[in-house]
Amino acid sequence: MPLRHLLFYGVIVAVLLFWTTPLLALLGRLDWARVPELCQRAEVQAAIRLSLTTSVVATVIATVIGLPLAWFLAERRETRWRHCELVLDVSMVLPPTVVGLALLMALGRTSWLGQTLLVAGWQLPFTTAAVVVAQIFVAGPFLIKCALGSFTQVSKEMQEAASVMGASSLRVFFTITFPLAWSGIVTGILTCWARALGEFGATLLFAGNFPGKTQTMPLAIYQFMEQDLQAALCLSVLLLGTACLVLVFLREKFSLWRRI
Amino acid sequence: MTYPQELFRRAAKVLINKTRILLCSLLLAGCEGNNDPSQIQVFAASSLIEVGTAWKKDFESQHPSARIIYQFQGSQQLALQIAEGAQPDIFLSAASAPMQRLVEGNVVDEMSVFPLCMNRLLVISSTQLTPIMDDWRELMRPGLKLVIGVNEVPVGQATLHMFKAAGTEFETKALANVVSYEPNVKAVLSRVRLGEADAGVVYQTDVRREDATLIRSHELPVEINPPTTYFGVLLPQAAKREAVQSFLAYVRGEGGQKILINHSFGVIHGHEIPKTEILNLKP
Repeated sequence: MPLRHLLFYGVIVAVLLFWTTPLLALLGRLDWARVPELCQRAEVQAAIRLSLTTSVVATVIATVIGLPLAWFLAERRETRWRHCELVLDVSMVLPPTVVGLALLMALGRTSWLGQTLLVAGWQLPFTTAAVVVAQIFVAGPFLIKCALGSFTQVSKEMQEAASVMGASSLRVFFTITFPLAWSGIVTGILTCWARALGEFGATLLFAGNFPGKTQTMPLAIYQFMEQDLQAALCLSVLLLGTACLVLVFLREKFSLWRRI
Repeated sequence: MTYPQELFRRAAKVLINKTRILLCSLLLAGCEGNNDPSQIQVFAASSLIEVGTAWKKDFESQHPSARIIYQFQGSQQLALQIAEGAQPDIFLSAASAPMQRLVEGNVVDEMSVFPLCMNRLLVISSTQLTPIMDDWRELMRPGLKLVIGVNEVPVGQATLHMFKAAGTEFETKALANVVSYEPNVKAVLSRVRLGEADAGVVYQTDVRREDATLIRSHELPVEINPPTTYFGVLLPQAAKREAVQSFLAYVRGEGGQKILINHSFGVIHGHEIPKTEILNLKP
């Protein structure tokens, strides 16, 4: 093979290595013999349990509140409502620490909303609910955008044909729009869940760090890595594995590479 | 040649020609930790933020060519970074444990570790708390939202020792009130200042005059609140640099120690300060 071909492939491989090496380093520096013992530790188990429950609950809530919004915005893409998508885009790209601070300012104990909730007996900061709220804020827009994209792609003619033939709005949604947009919605749900699982900055600032209550896996990794690197690596590899599984599933089952 | 390869070849040619100088300087900048001889990189515990800034101002006014660059974080996080290859010139730790870790890992020489200053814990409470907290013992108050440092950070370790020294009843009740373990002392402080937490345990040096409307301080009895020692070290690769050595001499000398005293730290040895000012801590 001529030299210039080799050089070109060399450059491509080097670029790919930039992303692969740190991930491989996680796997390489973990002491695999200690994994069973590490997974038995109470804090590690608490972090895993908490991460799983909060991310699933956050995804479910995001789906319930997000799908109607996505459908609503999809229907009105040619009107002024399309500017509302900006709010979602901004929430997605905002640094997590900014999100945490914003949530604290809006829902903390000293905020107007926070004090109203306090009267009703609810206080958000330092609770597991706060973790869920932070995750919904950060990961929800992923779901909404994916679903919105899918809903937009559903053929308008089919929907119109169905309503001309007498189907109500709701019936059109459940029998035509939703099934056709299904793969995009599932992609959105899984992406949302993966992002919620990895949420760190907003959780630390808004919900705090308490094992069993607000210490999710990323927070546990942050705390453990100074004193107990192996425990942090164990949790990191678990998160890495979960991300890989989700993405492989999405790519094979729903042809993700054609969508993004 | 195929189209992408031709494109790549042309693009590379253009880029390299137009950015020769930029590329050279980028390559040079990527080498070695600290090329600039008058730039001093200091990793310091977050409780040293105010003191460090004052040192910088004072030192740079006396030595116009010097530039001090700080990184303030929890001491244990800084120790981890140094152990994994970060190369500051000086490391200032709020406790012996992070320093010990570097000594054991052969990253620093035990002989070059020196005691820097001393500090004590302080209980703080939010002025928005009702009924207002009067005494440190009220940390046992049921339903109080208490925030302390995480176990790995010096202030957190010291807090847990203090709880233990105060007796089992206090320890259990106070720990039951903890709602969050923060990664550094400034995070604990900001929780209480913002009113999100009712009370916290920080260093006596962390409370500033401006916070008087937001925070109340509650002193702890000396028996359960021994002074904690801060340690500093000059890292081996910076040992020969004149600028770094002069900064260290400043910090350990009269100028630096005076600033420590002004910020309510205790000093270790006052060979350049009158004996009456040696330990700034109440007996």
